[in-house]
Amino acid sequence: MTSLPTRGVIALIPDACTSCMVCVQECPTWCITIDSHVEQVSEEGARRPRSVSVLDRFTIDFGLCMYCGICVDACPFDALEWRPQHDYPADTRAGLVQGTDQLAAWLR
Amino acid sequence: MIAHQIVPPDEWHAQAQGAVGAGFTFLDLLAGIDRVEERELVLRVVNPENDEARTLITRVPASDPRVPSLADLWAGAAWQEREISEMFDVVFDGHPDPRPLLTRDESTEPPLLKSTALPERLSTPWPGAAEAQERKRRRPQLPPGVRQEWVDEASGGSA
Repeated sequence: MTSLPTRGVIALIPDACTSCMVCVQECPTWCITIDSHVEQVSEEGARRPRSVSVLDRFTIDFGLCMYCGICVDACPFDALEWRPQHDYPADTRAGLVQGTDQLAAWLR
Repeated sequence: MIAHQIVPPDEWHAQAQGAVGAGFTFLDLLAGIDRVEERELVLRVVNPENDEARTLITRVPASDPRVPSLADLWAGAAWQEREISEMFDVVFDGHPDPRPLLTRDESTEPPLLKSTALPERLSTPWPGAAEAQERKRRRPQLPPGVRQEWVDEASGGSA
């Protein structure tokens, strides 16, 4: 957990995410979605190509999120992080759904 | 780690009164937790002189969830107890006004009990159902808050 005075927002480190779906399944409000696909990666000297999960889309619907932080705790790869940003209003319901780009931008 | 003290239900009122006497006069939080076999009540009180806090916890059996009201110690506890009462089906003995606070329909199951069905979850696609790495699971996993018997009932009813 964070020692920040606010809960802020949950940010994503896309490179750390393996699309394992643990956060999606643990989320009590069903606010996280993940789309991914599997790619075969051939490596020099390897007998067979390796299956690697590639993250296509990661969204958090902050209209549903209750900031419980279970996803942050549950992530086995520490790909989710609390950040102090709090100013992300939207004028439509869909605008509260943040995708990979915004979730990663909050890391900076 | 939050330091807390677990007290039996019959000492709940006396311990809370003791806290008031010891200077913890500000009611910070009174909340319920469904532990399935038991209902847990959490009381956090603060001493406004030095900001020290004390947390008291009591557990009552789910079969007879009954605890004395603290509304005579803090008038504000009355609202929190009304909410706990409707959300977790806990009876507060001696409560001055035990009407439901937020729910209007008396036929509603206590919304925050784990046993309460979440019918909308049956009709909402669960994002967690998407298969990781496009593999098929041997047994389809049910989303949290949805029980197998509800799914069986729902599919049995529509079939």
